[in-house]
Amino acid sequence: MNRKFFVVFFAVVLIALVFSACQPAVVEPVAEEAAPVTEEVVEEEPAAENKGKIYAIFKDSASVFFADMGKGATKAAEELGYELVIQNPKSEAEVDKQISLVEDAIAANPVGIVLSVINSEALTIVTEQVKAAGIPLTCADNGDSGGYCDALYATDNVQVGVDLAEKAAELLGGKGTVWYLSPLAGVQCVNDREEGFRETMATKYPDIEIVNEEYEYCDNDKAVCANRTLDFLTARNDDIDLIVGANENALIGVATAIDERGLAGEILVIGLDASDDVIAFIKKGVIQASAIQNPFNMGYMAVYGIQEMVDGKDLGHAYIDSGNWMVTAENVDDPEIQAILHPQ
Amino acid sequence: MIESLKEKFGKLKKTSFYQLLTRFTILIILFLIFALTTNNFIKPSNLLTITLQVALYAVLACGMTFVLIVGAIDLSVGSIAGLSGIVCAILLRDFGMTIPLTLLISIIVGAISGLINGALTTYLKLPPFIATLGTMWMYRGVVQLLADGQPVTIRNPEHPEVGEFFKLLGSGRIWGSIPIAFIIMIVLAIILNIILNKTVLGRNMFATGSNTEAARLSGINVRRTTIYGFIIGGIMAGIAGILITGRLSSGQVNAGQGYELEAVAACVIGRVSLLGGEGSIIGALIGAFMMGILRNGLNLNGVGSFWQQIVIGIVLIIAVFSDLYQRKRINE
Repeated sequence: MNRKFFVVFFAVVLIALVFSACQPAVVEPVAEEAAPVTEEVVEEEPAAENKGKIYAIFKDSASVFFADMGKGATKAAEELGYELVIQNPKSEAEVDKQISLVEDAIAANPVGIVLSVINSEALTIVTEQVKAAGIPLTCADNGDSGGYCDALYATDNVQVGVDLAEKAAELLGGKGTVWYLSPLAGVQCVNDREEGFRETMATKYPDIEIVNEEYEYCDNDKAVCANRTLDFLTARNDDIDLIVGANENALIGVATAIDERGLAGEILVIGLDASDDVIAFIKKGVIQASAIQNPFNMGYMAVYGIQEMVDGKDLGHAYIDSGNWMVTAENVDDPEIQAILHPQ
Repeated sequence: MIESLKEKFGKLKKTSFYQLLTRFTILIILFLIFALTTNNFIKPSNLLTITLQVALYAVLACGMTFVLIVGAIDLSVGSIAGLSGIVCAILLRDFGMTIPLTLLISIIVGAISGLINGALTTYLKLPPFIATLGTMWMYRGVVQLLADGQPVTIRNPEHPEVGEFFKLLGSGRIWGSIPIAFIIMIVLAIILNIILNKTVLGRNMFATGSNTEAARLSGINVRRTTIYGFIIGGIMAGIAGILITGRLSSGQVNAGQGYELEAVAACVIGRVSLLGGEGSIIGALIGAFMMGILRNGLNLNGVGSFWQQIVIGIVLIIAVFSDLYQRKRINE
C-alpha cells in the first residue's frame, strides 16, 4: 500500500461526497427514477398548487408489492396536489438503511411521511423523532412497535397467516405434512404470518404436521429458495404434501423447484403475493393458491391520511385493514381480483 | 528473460498441482462425510441436482479466476449478471428479438461491463477493489432503471418457444438427468482452460499478475492483458445472468446480488491466489463444488440457514489460512 493508493482512495471518496451532496437522490436508484415521474405528474395538473412534499419510504426497491404501493401513493398525491418523493433501501434486509432514509426525510421537513416499516422494534427510534418534529406520519403495510404512526393501513398479517393455514387445511382435507419456507429473518410481517400460520395449525388442525420446527430461510433470493426447496425434496424423498412460500420470492423459488421436478399438483404449493410469474404458475397448476394484499390501496389511503392530518384531524393511531384475498386458478380472471393485481 | 519466465511457470505448475490435490482430497472427504450421514446425498438424482445448483456459481467463479490471476478483483460480477439477465429479458419481451441475437447482445453487455471495469483500473489507475465497488452499484442501478423496479417476464403466449428455450437453458436436462446448465459450464470451463494454459494471452495473464513490472519489461502489454481479464470475467457474468433469467423465466432486478462474494470464495477455496499470478479453472470448479456440496449436504442434514452461513465462513477462513501457510512453507 503506497502513498499513491491512499491519495487516489481519498480523492475518490471526496469526489463521491461532493457528488452525493449535490444530488441527494443519487444513492437511491428508485428515488432518482421516481422523482422525474412525480415532477411530470405535478406539471400535468394545470391548477397544481405545489402544496409541498410528501416522503414515501418503503421497504424494497425491487418488489412488485411496493411498486404497486408507490402507484397508489402517487395517484393520491397527484389528486391532492402534493409532490411525492419515493425512497427505498435495496432490500428488506437493510433495516439500518431505512432508518437513515427516515432521518434524512425528517431533515427535509416535508408535509408528511408515509412509511412502510421493515422492523417494528428497530424503526421506533426514528418514528419517535418524526413525531417529535411534528411531522404527520402514516404507515402502510407495517407499523412501529412504539405506536408513533398516526394511522396504519395494512393487511392484518397474522390474519393472512391464519387464512393460509385454513386454505392449507382445506386443500389437505385436514391431514398431512407441511413445509413452511420463509424468505428471510427480521421482517415483521413475515414473522406475523408465520405466527398466524403455526398458531392455527397447532390449535385447530392437530393432524397437520409442520415438518420444520425451526424457521427456514432462503436469503429472499428466488434462485436460492429454489435450490433450498430442491434439497429439501431430496432429503425427504419428495415425502411432503404441501409447501408454503411466505412471500413472492420464496413462493417463486418453491414453484420453480416443483416445476423443475415435474411435481406440479402432486405436492401442493400455496403462498403470498401475486406477481405475473406467480399468476402464470397458478394457471399452470404449480401453485394452488396465493394470498394477495392490496398495496395500491395502502399507499393511496396513507397519502390521504396525511391530508386529513393537514386538515387538522386526529387519526388517533387507528388501524385500517386493507384486506386480503385468496387467488386460485378458479378466480384469477375475475374482474375484482384483476383490479387488485393490476391497479391503475 | 523468456527462459527464466518459463522456468518460473514450470515450478508454479508443479506446486499448484500438488496444492490442488489436497483441495481435491478435502472435496472427497466432504463427499464421504455427507454420503455417510444421509443416504440421500449419494443418490444420482441428488448429485445431478447439485450440478444444476452449482453450474451458475461455477461459471461466475471461472470468470473471476481470470480477473484474480491478472492481479485484480471484480466485485461487480453479481451486478453484471443482473444487468445481462435484465437486458436479455427486455430484448425478448419488448423488442421481440430473435434468440441468437438476444444471447449475443446480452453477452456483449457483460463484455462491455467488464471492459469498463478494466479501463477504470488500467487507464484511471483506480484500485480494482474501489473501481468495481463503484461499478457494482452503478450496474445494479442501471438494472433498476431498465426494469423499472419490476421483474421482466420472458413468457410470451404468442411465442411460447422462446420461454421454453430459456427455461431449457436454465433448468432443462438432457435424457432427463444431466442439467444443460452443467454442460454449458463444462464447455466454458474447457474453453477457458485452453485460453489460460495454452495461449500467449493466458501466459501473459499469469506474468502480469505475479510481477507486473517484470511482465512489462519483458514486453507484455500489461494494460491490454488486464483488460482482457476483466472482459472474460464480464462475459462469464453475462452468461450466468442469462442462466438465471432462463431458470426463473424472467429477468429479476435482484438477480446475482451477493454472487460476487460467492465467486471470490469459490476461487479462494480453489487455490486461486488473491494476490494474482496463480490459479486454475479446475481450482475454481473445485471451490465452487465444495461450496455447493457443503450447502447441499447441510441442507440434507437439516442444518438451519444460520449455521450453514457460519460453516461456510469457517471453511473459507481455513482455506485462506492453509493457502498462506503452504505458501510460507514453500518459500522457506
